[in-house]
Amino acid sequence: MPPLFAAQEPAAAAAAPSGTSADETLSPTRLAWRSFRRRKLGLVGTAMVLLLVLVAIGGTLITPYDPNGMNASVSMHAPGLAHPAGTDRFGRDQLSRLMEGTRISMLVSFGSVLLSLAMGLPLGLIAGYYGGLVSAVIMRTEDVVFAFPTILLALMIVATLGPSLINLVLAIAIIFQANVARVVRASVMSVKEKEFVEAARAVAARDAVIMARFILPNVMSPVIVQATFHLSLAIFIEASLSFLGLGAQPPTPSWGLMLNESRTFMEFAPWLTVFPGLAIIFAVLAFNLMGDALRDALDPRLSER
Amino acid sequence: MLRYILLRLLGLVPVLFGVSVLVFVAIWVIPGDIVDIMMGDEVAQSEKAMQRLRAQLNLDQPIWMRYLLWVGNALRGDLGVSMISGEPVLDQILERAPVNLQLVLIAMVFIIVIGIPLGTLAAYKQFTWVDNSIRVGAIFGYVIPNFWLATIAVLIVSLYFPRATVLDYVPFSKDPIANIKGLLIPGFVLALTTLSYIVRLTRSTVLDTLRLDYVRTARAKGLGERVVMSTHVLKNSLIPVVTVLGIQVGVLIGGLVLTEEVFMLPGIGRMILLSIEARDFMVLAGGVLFLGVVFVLVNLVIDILYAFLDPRITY
Amino acid sequence: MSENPVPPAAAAAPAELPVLRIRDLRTHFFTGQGVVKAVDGVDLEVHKGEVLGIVGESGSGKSVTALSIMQLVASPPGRIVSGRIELDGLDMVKLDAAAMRRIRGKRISMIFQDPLASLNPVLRIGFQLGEVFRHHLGLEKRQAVTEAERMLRAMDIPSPATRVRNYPHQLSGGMRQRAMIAMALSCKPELLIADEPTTALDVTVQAQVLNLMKQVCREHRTALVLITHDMGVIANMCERVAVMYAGKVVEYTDVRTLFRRPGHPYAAGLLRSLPRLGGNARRLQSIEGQPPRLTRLPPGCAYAPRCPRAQPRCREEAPELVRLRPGQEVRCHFPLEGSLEGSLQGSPQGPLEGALEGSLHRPIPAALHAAPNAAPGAAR
Repeated sequence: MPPLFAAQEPAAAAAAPSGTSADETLSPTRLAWRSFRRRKLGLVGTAMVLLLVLVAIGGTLITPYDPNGMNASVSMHAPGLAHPAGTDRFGRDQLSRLMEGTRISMLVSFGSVLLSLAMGLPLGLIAGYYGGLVSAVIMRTEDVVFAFPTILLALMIVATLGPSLINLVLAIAIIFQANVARVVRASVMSVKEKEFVEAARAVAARDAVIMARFILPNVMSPVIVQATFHLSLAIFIEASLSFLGLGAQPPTPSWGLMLNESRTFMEFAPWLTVFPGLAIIFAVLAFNLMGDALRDALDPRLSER
Repeated sequence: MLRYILLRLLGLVPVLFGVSVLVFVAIWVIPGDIVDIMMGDEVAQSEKAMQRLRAQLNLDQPIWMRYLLWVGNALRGDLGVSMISGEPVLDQILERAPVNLQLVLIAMVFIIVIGIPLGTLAAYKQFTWVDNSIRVGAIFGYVIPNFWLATIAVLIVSLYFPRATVLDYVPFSKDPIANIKGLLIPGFVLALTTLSYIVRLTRSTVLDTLRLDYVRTARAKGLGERVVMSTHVLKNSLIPVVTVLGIQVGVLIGGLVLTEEVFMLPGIGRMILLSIEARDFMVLAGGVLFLGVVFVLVNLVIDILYAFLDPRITY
Repeated sequence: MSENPVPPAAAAAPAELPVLRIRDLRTHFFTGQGVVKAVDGVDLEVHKGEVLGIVGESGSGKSVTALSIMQLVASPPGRIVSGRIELDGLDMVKLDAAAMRRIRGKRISMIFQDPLASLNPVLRIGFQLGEVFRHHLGLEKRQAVTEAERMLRAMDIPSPATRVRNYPHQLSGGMRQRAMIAMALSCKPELLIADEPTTALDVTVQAQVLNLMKQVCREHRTALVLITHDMGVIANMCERVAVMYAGKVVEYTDVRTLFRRPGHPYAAGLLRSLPRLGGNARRLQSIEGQPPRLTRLPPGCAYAPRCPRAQPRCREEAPELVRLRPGQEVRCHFPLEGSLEGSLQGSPQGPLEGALEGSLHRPIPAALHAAPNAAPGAAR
């Protein structure tokens, strides 16, 4: 997948001729932080992400009811004071289930993104650093991943491995690692001719040391930006596949699965359909807003494009 | 130009090889003994039947031989027969493909006819309320999951318009107009994610182009804004949009599975889902391979289109 | 809107109206970091057939001045805050967009720095040149391309019939700039503005392009405003020169006077930083420090922080443009009085001659005097 969001407009100031910048004494990290802070939407997105993470960590400690606790006496209750998001046919509290679903979403998205980094970073580093045949073999292999529509590939992998959240994480990671490798390789190639790398090479540092100490830190910006977008995409893929019955299995309160289960009763209990969708939108939006701002702050080249 | 197309066709060979290997490995190797899995519950299956199935799937051959036999058959148009119905897989695919083609085309029309003008308008009215509302709309359009929107659409129609036929699928051969009417909402739902993405992309590429020197030159010639926009800005801005549209076809194809499931449309996506449920691996492999190859070919067409749009590409 | 007490530049005061007269032009950019006063009180005048040079570092406001004349300043964030820009006495600042479009490309044309970036990469040369004819003269598409071809031929571009069908990337750098000049001159404008027209070109073709511009402007008596940071180009092309610094004209004089006896320390600094043929490399001086930030200009003279002659008064009180000698106006409290040679300690050549020969890479002075037809097809 390409960068998921189109570029933000560069600040109007960029068009104006100006003298030298007063920011030149600050470190790149400070600069990026300052630029990130200036983007209000990015801050909103970050706050939303924090909320999601807190709910995920809090888990059953903070849910009003047991997410899987059934109570036939309150079956199919519409949203009200006792159950703000209503209950399903087993009388399970939907708000608690949605909160528990946050944990599923976060586990799947962070898990698959971390796994994709563990695979894609070394592959991209090696391909970019050594180039030649090594790079050709790695990148042609990755091309095959790009040759598949994302959802379809995930679907096929999960279908053959068997539907479960672990397999879903693996499938998503396999897809993402190709993107990671591609981005890392491109950044490595642009960085490896820089003087400080040449200098390290001149004092005969080992390749692994050069990659870890000098190259890796310099390719992290695009990787972080990409990872943020991957988080939002992973939430979407998890929800999609769980919706199709190929991810989380009942009674796991995954948003996608809840949405799928709601379809049977949606005419009588539309809240069961509406709320899980809003939860997905909230999470995807959160990571996208954060990613947009991160990209503008960390990787100005991308946002100018 | 011909040479360029030929070169691109040649470049397809390794990609298609990789696609076929991936499908083969994923479906025929990773799961282990397919026959066991397929027979799964039906313990009562006779040993004889299992042997027959093994032979039919060439499971007695070494793995590379199995691959070659499978690919060879696929190249000849033989994707095997469904293990459930005994119907040839290719027949099933060809029977269902028109629905997919229609859906993707309808979605593409929405994307191009709505997305590009909206993005251009937003760029042209940058920082005004028009721009802001288009941008907010595009952000939400992008993050709304299509399967949820589809479900909500079905919900709304069944709750408020129980007698409406807008979501009824009618085969094209029976009533073309009713057929297209029935596919409009699914097509729009399928399009929405990509549509929103294209709005944002068009907006940003138009903004980028508007800042370029040659646009200033065009204005310095005394050309009016409309001419500057249509002849100098739009064509250049559309070059990256076209590339992305090619990649987005992948999103559309992926979305087909979900859209068809919710709207109950008889397309390949639904066939794939049914085959997963039924553990009909022949159909699954055939369907995935088919859609994968189509996606690769679409990207080839986009590449060639790109070369037409941008004279700087050397063939 | 402050009143500028400076009287109109007292050039040779010809009887006819100047083609271009700028009065107290202020173009500001309103950015998140504050107001950038890119052009802040500029007065200029160009007469028919005259070549005016505008020289200064990047950020001095010379390009924004040019774009202001064309009314092509990006808005937002930029805006012409005040002033008059008169074309034959007609104040263009007051014109509406449609009227301005009838002037652009017809009565005033502009050539930009980078000819590759300035031509649309996906449209054929013939189409892009033809647009001017179609828009201003109402020609048909076919006729317009024919006219474009004629213009290319007039610019000594070889095989123009093929070139009109080419895309910009298929032309050489020199050819592209010739095509830009052809485009600019299509409607025989009264005024041509060239913003660093040779900066992006190979040194070998710079001379040819400048030569061509000078020749065609002379033929049609087109007034030329030439913007550059290259004092050598100024020496070769211009009759009058405006030296700009931080959005203001700091010296406005004829080219001989500027090179012999510059009045403003900044102008003198620019001249001293020129490499000279036969000059001692060690004496090559650059101007210390950075141009000021236009959002935070010092209260006094903008050049004071870098000026070797700065006095306390310079830091407190902004100087006005005042007449130093007839035909020389300088914005400085303590202008240089003597000739530049004196301060250069017996240079073997005067700076003007040095500039002529050193900075412009020899072929130019010769080319300027050569017959215009002498270099057909020389652009590769």
